[in-house]
Amino acid sequence: MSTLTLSNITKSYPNGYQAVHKLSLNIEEGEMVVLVGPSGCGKSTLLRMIAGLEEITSGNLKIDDCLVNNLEPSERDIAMVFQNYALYPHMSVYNNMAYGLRNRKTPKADIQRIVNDTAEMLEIEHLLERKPKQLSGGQRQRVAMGRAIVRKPKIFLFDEPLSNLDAKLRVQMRLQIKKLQRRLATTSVYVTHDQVEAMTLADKLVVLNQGTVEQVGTPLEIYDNPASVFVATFIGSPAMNILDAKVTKEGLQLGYSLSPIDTQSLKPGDIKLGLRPEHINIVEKMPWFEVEVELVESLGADLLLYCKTLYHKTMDETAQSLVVRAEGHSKIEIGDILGLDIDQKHLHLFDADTSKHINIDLKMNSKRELLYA
Amino acid sequence: MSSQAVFKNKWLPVALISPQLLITAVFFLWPAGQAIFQSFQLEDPFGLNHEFVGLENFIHLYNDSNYLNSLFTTLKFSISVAFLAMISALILSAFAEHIVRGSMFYRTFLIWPYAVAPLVAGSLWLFLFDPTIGVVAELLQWFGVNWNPTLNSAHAMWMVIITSTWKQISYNFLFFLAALQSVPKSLHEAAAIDGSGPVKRFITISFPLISPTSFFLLVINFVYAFFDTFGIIHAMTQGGPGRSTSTLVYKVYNDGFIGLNLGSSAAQSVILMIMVALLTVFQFKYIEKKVAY
Ligand SMILES: Nc1ncnc2c1ncn2[C@@H]1O[C@H](COP(=O)(O)OP(=O)(O)OP(=O)(O)O)[C@@H](O)[C@H]1O
Ligand SMILES: [Mg+2]
Repeated sequence: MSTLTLSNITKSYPNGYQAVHKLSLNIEEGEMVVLVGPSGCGKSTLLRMIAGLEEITSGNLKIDDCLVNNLEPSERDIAMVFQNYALYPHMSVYNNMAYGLRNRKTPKADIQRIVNDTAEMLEIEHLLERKPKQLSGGQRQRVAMGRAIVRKPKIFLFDEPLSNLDAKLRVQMRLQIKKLQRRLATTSVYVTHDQVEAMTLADKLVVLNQGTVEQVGTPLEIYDNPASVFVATFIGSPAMNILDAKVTKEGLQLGYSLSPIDTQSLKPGDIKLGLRPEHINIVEKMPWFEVEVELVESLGADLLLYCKTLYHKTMDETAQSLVVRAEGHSKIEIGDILGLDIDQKHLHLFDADTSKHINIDLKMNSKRELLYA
Repeated sequence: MSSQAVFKNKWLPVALISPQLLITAVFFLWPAGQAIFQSFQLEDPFGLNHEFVGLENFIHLYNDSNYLNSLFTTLKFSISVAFLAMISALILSAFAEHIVRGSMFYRTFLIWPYAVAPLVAGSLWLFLFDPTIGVVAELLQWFGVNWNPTLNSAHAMWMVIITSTWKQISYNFLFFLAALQSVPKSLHEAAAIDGSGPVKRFITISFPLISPTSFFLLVINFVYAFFDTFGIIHAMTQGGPGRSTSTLVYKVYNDGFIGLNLGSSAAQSVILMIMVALLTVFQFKYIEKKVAY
C-alpha cells in the first residue's frame, strides 16, 4: 500500500501543446481514484507520467514520499493495464503473466505458484497455455489484469481498460475490478471517460478539464455539489439541464415564469440554473414553468422526456431545451404540455460569467401562495 | 464476393499480360530451355557439332572436386554475407527507430548503397581495398595486417564478403525498420513497466515479433549471395586467387564462357535453377505457417 502525491505537475509535449497544467492531487493508501473527463483532457497523459512512460515537464511526483520524477518505469514498482491490453502476442498467457516476475529474478517455483494462484482468482487457469489471439476480449482483459496483479506493485494504473468490451461484459468486469481492488487494497488510479464507470468505481473522483482539476470528491459529493457547470453536465446521466435565467427582486425568472424563491442574497442579473432530470417534478397545479414534450424515450423503468420551454407571454426569448425523467409508465406523449417544478434543495445556481457554483441556501419566498393566487 | 476483376472481352486480359509473358519467355523460359537442352549435350568448343550424352555432364560434376569446392566456397560466402548483412541491418534499424532528429538523413544515406550497380560497387570497394592506394587497405596495414587480396585467398574472400554485405544492408534495413515500426508501442511500454530494459525488450519482444520478416530476409539474402553477387566477384577477383572466390554462379560463367565447356556449364545452371525453385517453395511453405502470429 502506498500513497501517491502529485504537486504542480505540468506536461508540455515537444510540439508545444500543454496537455496538463499545474495539477496537484493527493492519493491515499489503498484508495481507488478515478480520473474522469472528456476526450483529450489529458487523462492518459497524466497516467503515463505516473507510470514513467512520459516525461514530466515540471512539478513533483512522489510515491510514498519518495521523488520518482526521474525513475524508469521499471523502478517505480507500478503496474498498468492498457486500453488495448498490450499482451505479448508471441507468449502464452502463462508467460505473459510470468514475464515481469522473471525480469525481477523471482525463483521459478514462486513464479509458478503466484501465476497459478492469480489465474485461479481471475478464473483463467484453463487458458494458461493459450496465446492472446486465442482469447476473447473479456479473457484478454483478465489476463492483462493478471499480469498487473502478479507483481504486487505499489500502485495499479488503468487506462480505460473496459472500453473495448461490450456493454454487458463491461458491467461484469467493472464489478470484478472493484472486488479485486477491495481485496488487494492496492492504491489505484483508473482513467475513464465513462461517467457511470467513474461513479461506481471511485473512492475518490477527480474531474479533469483541459489539463486541470475541475473538482475532487467522492462520487456523491460531486453529484450533489458540482463545483461548476462543466462538472454538473459531465457527472450524471442524462446530464443536468442548464437553463439561462434572471435574478429579479421577486424571484428567479425563466422567461416570464417566476420562481417564488427568495433572491435577496443574489446579485440581480443573469444566472444559470442547474436542474437534474431526475429532480424535476411534473405538477398539475402551480407549476414554475411549462414545457412542451418534443420526444419521448422509454428506458423501461423510466421515461426520458425531451422538452422545450414555453414562455407564453414572451416573444423575444428563444425556447430552451431540457430533459425530464418521469416514471416508466406515465402516459405522456409528444406534444403534451407539462407544468414543471423543482424542490429548491435540488436547484443549483451557477454564475453566468464564470460558470462556478453559487453556494447559498435557497429559501422559498413567503409570497409563494400569493403569486399564484 | 470475389476480388477478381471480370473482363467481358476474352482477349483484353491476354493483351494486358502479354508484354510480361513475352519478357519472361524471351529472357527466362527460352534460355532456361536451352540450358536444360544443353546440359544433356556435349559440344565442341566452336559450337560446330554436339551429341547427346545423357546425364554424363551431371555425373561428371558429381565427381569433380572443383565443383564441390565451389559449392563449399559458395556456402561459406553466402552464410557470411547473409549473416553479416542481416545482423548489421538489424542493429542499424534498431537505432534508426529511436532517432527522431535527422532521421530522414540517416535513412536516406543508409538506403543509397542499394541503388549502386554490383559492378560499380565492386570497382568502388576494389579501389578502397587496393593494397597500394586503398584507404581501407591502409587502415588494415596500420593494424598490422599484411593485406594482399590478389595473393591471399582469405583476404580475397573477406573483400567480396564485405562488399556484398555492404550492398545488401540497405535492403535488409528497409524491411527490418518497417517491421520494427509495426511492433505496437504499447508492447514496449508494457515490457518497460514489467522491468525490462531496452536491450532485453529488443531481444524478448521486438525480435520474436519480427521473425516473419527475418525469415523472409534470410531466404532473400541467400538468393542474393548465391546469384546476384556475380558482378561484384567479377569486378573484384574474377573468382581468384586460385579458385578461392569462385562461387557456383561464377563457375557457370567461367566454365561456359572462358572454358567453353558449354555442356558442363549448362548442367551447373540447371542445378542452380533447381536450388532456387527449392528455396522458393521452402519460403512459401514456411513463411505463412510457421512464423506468423
Ligand atoms: N505525443 C503528443 N504530442 C502532442 N500532443 C499530444 C501528444 N499526445 C497527446 N497529445 C495531446 O494532449 C492532449 C491530451 O491527450 P490525452 O491522450 O492525455 O487525452 P485523454 O484525456 O486520454 O483522451 P481520451 O479520453 O481520448 O483517451 C490531447 O489534446 C492530445 O491531442
Ligand atoms: Mg486516453
